[in-house]
Amino acid sequence: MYYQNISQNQSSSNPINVDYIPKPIGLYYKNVQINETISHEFLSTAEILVKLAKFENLKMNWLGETKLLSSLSDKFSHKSYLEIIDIGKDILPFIFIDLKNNDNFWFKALKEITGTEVVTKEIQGNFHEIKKRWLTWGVSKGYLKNK
Amino acid sequence: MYEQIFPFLQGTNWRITSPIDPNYNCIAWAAEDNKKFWWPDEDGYAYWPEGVPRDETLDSFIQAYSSIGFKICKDYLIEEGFTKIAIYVDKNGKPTHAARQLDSGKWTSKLGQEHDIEHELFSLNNSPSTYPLYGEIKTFMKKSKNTQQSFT
Repeated sequence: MYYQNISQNQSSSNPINVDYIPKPIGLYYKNVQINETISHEFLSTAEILVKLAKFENLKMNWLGETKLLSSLSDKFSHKSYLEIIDIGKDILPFIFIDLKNNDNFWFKALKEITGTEVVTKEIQGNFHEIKKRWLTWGVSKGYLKNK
Repeated sequence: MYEQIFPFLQGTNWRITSPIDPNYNCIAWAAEDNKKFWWPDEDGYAYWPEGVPRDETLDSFIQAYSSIGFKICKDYLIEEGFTKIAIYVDKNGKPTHAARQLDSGKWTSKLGQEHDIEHELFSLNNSPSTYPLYGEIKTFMKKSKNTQQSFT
């Protein structure tokens, strides 16, 4: 099955069993200490774990079925992607961490959730520049501590 | 992994020819652009040639490639001095993918955000046994190799 194949290749983790590693000195996710990366004013540690698992599951579904597509409308209208958008601002820290560590198309979700658009005509089609602008925005708003 | 997704790759002499790169996609790669992501999305995240409607229609894609010198042609046979491309559409006629012919007669495709691969032309067509992805080839276009192009 297409989704399963991609999922297996994407990450060593099962989409449901998120590969976070709680340690005494902090909460880690894909080697990023997320309670250092995510500002505490947004989420408690317990909330982080629950939302992280949900986010990872939806993300892997979305990537599994759209990663080989070029159509942005297909990527952005995928059921799991829309579900992530529906969660709203609580999901922003996870989107920003994923955007920081991976190259996934979170731009539409970020726009929909934040009501902000960072893309201008001169950077249309430039994935890395759009990503850079969103990460800068995320840091400026406190969703990420560092780019 | 790709042979399970695209069963018609099996038994053919295909190969991965690039690292994963999210910065360009198949539509750009067919146009020999590996710096930008091309798509006529209404939000304007992707590049689309100036003056071409941002519609997900075959006509819009033909216009996009025409803007850099391609013209519709009747087949995929090698023609000396020309680069050919193939545009794929899904069952509703919406463009999904594009591939470019190499001098060898094989074709090169960028698979979404993933790798470039070299393959036989029809290897990426939908298979009845798998999740439908790129559909079928609908149109061929060709361009003289001497045509200058720039993506602004």
